[in-house]
Amino acid sequence: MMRYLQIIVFISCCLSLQAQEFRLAPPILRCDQVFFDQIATVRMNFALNGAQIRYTLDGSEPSKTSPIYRKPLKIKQDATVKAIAIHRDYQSSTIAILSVLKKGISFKTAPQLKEIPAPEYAGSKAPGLVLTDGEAGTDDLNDGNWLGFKTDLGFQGSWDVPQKLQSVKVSGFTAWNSWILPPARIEVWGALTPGSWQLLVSKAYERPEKPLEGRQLYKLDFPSGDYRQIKVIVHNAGPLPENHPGKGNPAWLFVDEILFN
Amino acid sequence: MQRSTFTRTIFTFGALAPLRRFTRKPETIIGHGAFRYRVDQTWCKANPTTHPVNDCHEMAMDRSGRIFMSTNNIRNNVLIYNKDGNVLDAWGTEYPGAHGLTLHDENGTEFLYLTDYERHAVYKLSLKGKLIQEFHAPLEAGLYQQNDEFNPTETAILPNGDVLIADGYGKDYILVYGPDGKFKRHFGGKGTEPSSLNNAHGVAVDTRKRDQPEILVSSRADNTLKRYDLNGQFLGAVPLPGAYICRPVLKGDALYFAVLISKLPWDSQSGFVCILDKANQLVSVPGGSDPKRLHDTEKLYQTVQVFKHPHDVLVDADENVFVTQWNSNGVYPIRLTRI
Repeated sequence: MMRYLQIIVFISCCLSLQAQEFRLAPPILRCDQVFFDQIATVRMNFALNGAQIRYTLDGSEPSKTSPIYRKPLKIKQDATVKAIAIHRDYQSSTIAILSVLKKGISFKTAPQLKEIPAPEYAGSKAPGLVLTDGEAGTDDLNDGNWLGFKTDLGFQGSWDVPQKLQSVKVSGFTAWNSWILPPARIEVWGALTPGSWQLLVSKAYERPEKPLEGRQLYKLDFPSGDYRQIKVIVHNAGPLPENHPGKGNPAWLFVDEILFN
Repeated sequence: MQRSTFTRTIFTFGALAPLRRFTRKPETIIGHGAFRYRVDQTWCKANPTTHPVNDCHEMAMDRSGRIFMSTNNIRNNVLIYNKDGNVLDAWGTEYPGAHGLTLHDENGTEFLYLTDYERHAVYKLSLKGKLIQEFHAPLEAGLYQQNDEFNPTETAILPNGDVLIADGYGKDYILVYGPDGKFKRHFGGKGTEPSSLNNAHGVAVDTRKRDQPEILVSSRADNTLKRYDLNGQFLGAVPLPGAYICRPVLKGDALYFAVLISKLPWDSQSGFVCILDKANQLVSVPGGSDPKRLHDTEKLYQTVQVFKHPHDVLVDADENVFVTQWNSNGVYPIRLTRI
């Protein structure tokens, strides 16, 4: 009995030792053009005296030994910027992530969508244009650059002349508490002569217990080939899972851009 | 047996004391310029089993220095603390949407005005919780079709005794009632005009310019404070990008407020406190970005995660700041001790 008491006292002492230690918020990452033509300029901010920002560009987790951010970064290739704030007196922040992507092949005629987005998240222009206009959505899902679906998303576009394609990138959003989940699966279909569809790639996304929040990028590579028609089917995660407060209700799927390279 | 346990407990504490000295982190100091504070998370001594809270919404202090706090927990809608954070009293079981709490000295007698967004009404109460007067939606004025469109979040009392009610979770009007409870007029309301309000969450009377008192309203979803004269004529806006301002609180020449969040979604746990000087210039952001290092249009943001969703501030005579929080796992108020 006494031993238990001692253990409890010891644990509570340890907890009280930790009690004053706060964590930093993640640094602010900004980019003039998330979907860029030639160069993207990425700026990082964290206005706390004595704090540093450490970052990586290769997708690895930043640590206290990663490069220190000193001036805006000029980025010329697709990159996932990951950054943390560190400070002697505080626990390091969680990771801030910003993916910047080189713009792909554009469409002359507006691509068509099979499903209609939910009226409250229908974007500021024709849905097919919202997804191919090079405009990135912000954290405000009502900014007109996002499309929200309670269904799957079927996208179809075409070109007058064949285009050489080898990858499709889908830019989406995840917010667990707002019932917005990552897609379950994405398929890409191509056709050189109209209607002669062939499946180029299909990728299933396993859902972690609690997915990463914010903008997410789904990149699908396939053997290079010439196509005049392209179809991308983004499958909704389906009903919210057992461990979600809204379990059984339909999940949301949010996409702001689909890029073709 | 008991004595032995006690001795050993003391001994264990004693043995760990030097360790504690080595491993204890430095005090947490937040804020900027002249407005810097030591964070005290353990100021409040309330016991969650006897005085449970859900959201801790707002606070007010009476003449004798007692702190009144509103919560939407119907076990005790109002908790009363002394300055040391001990609970002196608690009352209120019938206000499921207890939110705005304003104290007014009416010719020497103090009253509380409590808004309830669930019951769609505002209640004037004695400091002991006795109901004195009720205010309801002014249906006769044609602004509202039905009572439940009225979801008041805040009150303020004008120098002439008129009562201002902010319908911050309803139609975002500021409604003006006479002391007798009769509806007089309104201003604000949802929209995109400069004088419009979107999520008119808080209202206060600003008497810092003695000869020109103003009404300050937080247009929370716009991240803006809006200024009106006492007749409701729009005077100007104080934009604070990134700041979802709960209610303006005035003390001395300074304007204080809790910022619920600094980015969407509404549960982003990204809040802090702001302090503005007499010219409504930002001078300190406890828990948030250094105002001196912000560019013109840059949004404010959280830097140290001291707060999750701050909902109100109370400033005492020594200019210490008490902070209540919404949707933060039932945490009691945090005290910021001015240094």
